[in-house]
Amino acid sequence: MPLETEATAEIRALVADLKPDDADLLEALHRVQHRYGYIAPEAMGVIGEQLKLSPAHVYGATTFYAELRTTPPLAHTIAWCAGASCLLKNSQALLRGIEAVLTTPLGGETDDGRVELIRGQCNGTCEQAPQIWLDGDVVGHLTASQAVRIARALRDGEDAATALDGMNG
Amino acid sequence: MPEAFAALRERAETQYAQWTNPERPRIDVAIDTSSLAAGAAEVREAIEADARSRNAAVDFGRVTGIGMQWLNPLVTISWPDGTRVLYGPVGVDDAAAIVDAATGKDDEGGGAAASGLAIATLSGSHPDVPPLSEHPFFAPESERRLLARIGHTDPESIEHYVATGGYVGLDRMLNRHQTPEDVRQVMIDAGLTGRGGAYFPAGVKWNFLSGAGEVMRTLICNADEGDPGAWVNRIMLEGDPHQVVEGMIIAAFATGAKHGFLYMRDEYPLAIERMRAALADAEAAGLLGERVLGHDFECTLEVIRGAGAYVCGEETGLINSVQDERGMPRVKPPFPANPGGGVFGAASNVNNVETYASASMVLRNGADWYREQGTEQNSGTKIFSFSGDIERVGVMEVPWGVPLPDILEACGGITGGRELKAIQAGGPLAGYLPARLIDELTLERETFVPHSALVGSGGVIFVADSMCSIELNELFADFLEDESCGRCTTCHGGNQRMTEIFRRTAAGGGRREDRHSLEFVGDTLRYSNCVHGQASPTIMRNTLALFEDEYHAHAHGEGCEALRCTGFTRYAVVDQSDPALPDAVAICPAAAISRDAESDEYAVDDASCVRCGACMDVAPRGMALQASVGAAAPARIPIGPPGALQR
Repeated sequence: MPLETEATAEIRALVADLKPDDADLLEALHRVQHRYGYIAPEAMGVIGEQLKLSPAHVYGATTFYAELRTTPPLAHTIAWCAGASCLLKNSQALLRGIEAVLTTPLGGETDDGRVELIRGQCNGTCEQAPQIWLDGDVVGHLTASQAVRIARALRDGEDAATALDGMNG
Repeated sequence: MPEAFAALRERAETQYAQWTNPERPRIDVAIDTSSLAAGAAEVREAIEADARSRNAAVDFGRVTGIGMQWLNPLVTISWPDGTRVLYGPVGVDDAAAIVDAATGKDDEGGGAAASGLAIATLSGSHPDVPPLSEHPFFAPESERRLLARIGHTDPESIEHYVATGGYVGLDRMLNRHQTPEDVRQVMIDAGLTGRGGAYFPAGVKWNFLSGAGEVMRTLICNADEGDPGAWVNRIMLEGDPHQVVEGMIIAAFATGAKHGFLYMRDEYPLAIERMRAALADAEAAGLLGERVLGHDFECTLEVIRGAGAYVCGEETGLINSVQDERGMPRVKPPFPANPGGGVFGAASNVNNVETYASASMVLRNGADWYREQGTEQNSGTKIFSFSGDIERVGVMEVPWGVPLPDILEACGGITGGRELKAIQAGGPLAGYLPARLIDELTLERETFVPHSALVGSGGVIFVADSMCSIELNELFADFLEDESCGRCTTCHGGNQRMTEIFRRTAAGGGRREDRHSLEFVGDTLRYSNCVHGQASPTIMRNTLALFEDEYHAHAHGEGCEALRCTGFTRYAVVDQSDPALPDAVAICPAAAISRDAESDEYAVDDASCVRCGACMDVAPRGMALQASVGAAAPARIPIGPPGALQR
């Protein structure tokens, strides 16, 4: 067993009430991600010990799901809605603008590791189409020029509120 | 103990009566995922602050949105006489008008200031405000059954659920010693079918689990609604969680299951929160636990929070996900209801959210009542969400068989003076049909099947002629590739090929052999293990068969009529006198627009342009989107260093 550290002890306490073969793995992963923002290899080991699962099993399950992350979250996340209603409202054009500003394709991040561009899944706020989620909040009825300004502001180090304030030029 | 439920019911009825006829006017801001996206939380805060600052004699409550999402945020005012009026869209700036309307400050009827925002009365009557049933959006609806409580109760109150007939069917079932066979038979007699999209008779499915023999039995509620454009389960889970809970308890009784899992989509945090609270309230009321309402019947339920995987909507993928594994669909048999086919070796029954919710209504009101709605083949009502290029995006509960043209009319028709081009119902696996078929289509699977399409789980997207079928195929193929579990090469490889071909075609690089390749991929995908792979080529096949001219024009480099595909379009400067052209230069993320110092003319460098259209937003007179045939596909990421392409 690897050396117990303060971090692993804390994770152990976080999942102490969870049991093997009790449909608790997703709960364990959510708890860790909620606390730390991501699921580190050390956490996978601790969860595996608690639920009597191999680290490979925990890693396999973790990486299966789009919402679970194995690296620390970045300062800002633009989630581009990949839904069909947004597509009808030309969401692909917004994406091309954002990609060009951040110089990364969907699924990547800026060079300085501050802003990431990920795929968001439709949750039925289609009256807002086309939309993105900026750090989790919906920004709807977005135009290409607004998307470009938001992405530029984030790229240039502004916070989300400033980016939204300036999105109309 | 039956007495306990009677006491709960009495308390509930008193509470609900006070809620429907409050002592002072009450303002309810609808809180649901859609309204929150439209700023409902800020609106509620503003209204409360305004009322506080003026010491207004009003109270505050909570409802969920009634389905008119294009009018979000929605606010309801309830007066002591029982009159309830719905307002929307209510912005932060309307806070004072809403408070004035509630206190009746500016006229006797209450609320001339907010009358411009008044949509309809929900109960009682109000001068100049028509009843909700007269709103054109509700024309296709007959009777709200599943959604009866939406907008009329507090979704977080078990008392409101009980006061409106909730858990009464369950209580009666246990007190009158109905047998599990009786309950299953009622579902069969009612003709209740699985609402997840397969429409298999629910009672027959329950018979499978009931007959599983001496084995642990579990129930699963599939609340992993993942089809883009479908949010019918979300409405149910956020708006009336107890109706789903009651249906699961009834199903547990009917099948001999003791424990159930609600597998809920991670993207629905409010639904998860409300469902967890509903389970806690039901347990505290004795409706869940070792002895449900004091009877010799054990039933416990728990929420499993998913983590973002479309394929977990497939029932065996969902079972694997519940039991701590990757959510990969299994090879069947064993089927879920077989011993060993369910969660952790048990036998399991998987139904959709709406199926369980419908079951609680069927038990309470009987099979004949259920069959009063719908058609001969398809009984009852179904919730649908309508979106796309329509004026009114929202949710309706309609009886089966409503003609699709009626729905389009109720949704206000196509936006922006465009024409209907296609109907995309049921998500990425269900189909894509041209507008010319709309007169043949009703909301019933039987009218879709002859065209090799399905009606699906409840999402219907109306597509205008501003959309391109090739771009749409590219998006869906990309989605299906991204969400493939990876088990079958036919699926993850096939969808990858399909994505590549459509992406290349949209970029102007279509080839003669593509059609053959697409058909070959489609044939191969049939041999995938689960429905995700098997149904992946549906939209592509519909496109080749029913949008043949459009496919041909792209594949042969003739153009994209909708001006959407990057390989067939370009941005150009068309009016040098537009004073906004410097803004176009400034907004361009690819530095593709420049001014020639000598000629003083602006021009676009087509090779650098990424076709985002930001320039046209800021200089609509000077810039134009034009057809362009035979140009090389533009660079997508113009200046990205290699490091940016990781992950």
